[in-house]
Amino acid sequence: MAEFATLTAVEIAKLVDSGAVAAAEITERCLARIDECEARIGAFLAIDAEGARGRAAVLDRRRLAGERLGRLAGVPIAIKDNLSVAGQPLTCGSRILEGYVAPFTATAIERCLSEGAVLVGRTNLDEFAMGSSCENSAFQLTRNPWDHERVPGGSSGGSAASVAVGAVPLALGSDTGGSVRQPAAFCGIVGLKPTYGRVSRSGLVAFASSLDQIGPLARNVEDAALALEVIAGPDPRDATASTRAVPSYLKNLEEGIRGMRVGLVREISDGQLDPASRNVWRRSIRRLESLGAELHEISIPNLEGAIAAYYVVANSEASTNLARFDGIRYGRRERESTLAQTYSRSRSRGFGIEVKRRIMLGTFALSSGYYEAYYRRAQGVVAGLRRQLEAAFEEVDLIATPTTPGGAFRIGERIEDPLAMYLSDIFTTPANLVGLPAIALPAGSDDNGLPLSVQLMARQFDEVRLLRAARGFERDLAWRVVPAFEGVIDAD
Amino acid sequence: MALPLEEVRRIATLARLELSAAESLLFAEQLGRVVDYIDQLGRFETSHPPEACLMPLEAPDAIAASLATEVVLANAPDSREAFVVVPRILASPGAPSEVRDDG
Repeated sequence: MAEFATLTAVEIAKLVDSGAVAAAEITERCLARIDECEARIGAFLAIDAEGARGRAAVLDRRRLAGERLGRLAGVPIAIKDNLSVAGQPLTCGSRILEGYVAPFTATAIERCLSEGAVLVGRTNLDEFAMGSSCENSAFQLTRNPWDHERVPGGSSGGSAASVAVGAVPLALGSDTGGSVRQPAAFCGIVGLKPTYGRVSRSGLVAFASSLDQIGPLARNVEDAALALEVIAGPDPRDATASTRAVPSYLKNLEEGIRGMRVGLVREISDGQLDPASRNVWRRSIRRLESLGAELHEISIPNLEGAIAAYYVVANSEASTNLARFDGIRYGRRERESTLAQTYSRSRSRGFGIEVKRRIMLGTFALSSGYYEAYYRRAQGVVAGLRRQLEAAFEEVDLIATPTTPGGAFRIGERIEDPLAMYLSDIFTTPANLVGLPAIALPAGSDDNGLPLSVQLMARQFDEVRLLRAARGFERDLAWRVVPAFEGVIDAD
Repeated sequence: MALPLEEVRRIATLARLELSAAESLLFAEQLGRVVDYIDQLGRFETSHPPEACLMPLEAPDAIAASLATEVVLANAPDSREAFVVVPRILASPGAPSEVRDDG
């Protein structure tokens, strides 16, 4: 068997399903790799070694009895700590959920388990998925495997770091404004945000319900496609989960990008990108062209307004969704003499500074006298953005942008400046606002060896084309995530 | 431009948050800058948005079994029989005034 840290989910499932390697053996290798890296990276909030070993033993017994184990046979996966697993603590990176134990399992995770996956741990995140660096976790920092002084991105930073460092081949995260794609970009891996409604949100703790989607983080496009095939589909527990049939994303994955019409957004200027990003972005455009894509210039004037609209819409929904954390039915309760004091003190001591900031912003935007000027107007700008994107998708099959304006930033660099942190989501928020599928792909590295990334977006429910194009790009780049601690790979 | 402190306190009350003096000052400045940024929304094309945030509902809204009472209560900080125990809702006369909801 090859070095565990280089194995993909597809390869592991083949090894285990054929009986070449036992699930128990894979699990031990995975736990050993976690041991080796975790002190330096800090990707996990909880590691369930005992549960993983027990689960692997069950899988091996079932295989010996002649059962097929499924498409994720023996594949170790990590999950963001805002996804519920019955009987396991769930923190959302927050002190307000102290003592909470999830009473049911998220649909996406049930589906992974029924295909033979082994859950090994729960990964760090910005508190309630609010942030772009994992620095807003109430519990710990996570470090970027490529440079330990830099952030892994966020909010699914623990999931991204765990995959990049080779601790697991596959992890699940959630993406409300780029929280799967941006950390994937910073850690040099693949991150997929599916179409809104493609994956059930049941069991995902809500941040902004009209924007949230669960998505996979993987070391290559094939694993992301496999994961989506497993987790997508209708679910009676989430009325927004689409009833459309799930196609095979793996079939025809190798057909390439030739003949696809790819839109480049006129409004994205060089000035918005760091110099190194600019070079990698230009090379990526040439790469798309050389692979046979037809490039078209498109215009999305509202792209520039996406961040402002996003922070109004997302935080308005967050202020409403997070009202449920009041110390009454679950989580931390400060013992006060009146109900009102119990609410406000439990919340004030339980929530961290960024969550409070966002609840305040959302409450402001929805409050009497400001609702029309902020919430309604933001919805209007989103409606305009939707119209512009729909018009663009009459002309093109995909839209390509950089995933982020630059590579991973230093720990502490942006924590005092929330607006600067928010602006790093400029290219990722539109897909959430309009419900489109989008994927972040490694595209090369900057002068310091930090990964940079390209984003492809497609029409709603057109993940087949999105993944095919992504695979074409990836194959040509020949990017391999080398899970060394100070890996530098020049992709070109 | 910083938000007036009075405005920060009004929002905190609506949000059921108790802010320290330092947090109030910090938020007045930071939220002021974010609101200034958000004010650029007026520059962009708007289409008529729906009256409410509409999400596509495709699955039928059917009644199904929910979690058992004891499972739900297992997470409650304080419970008795089938109920969550909470502090009294009304303040006694002369006690500090209740959070007022004027939104």
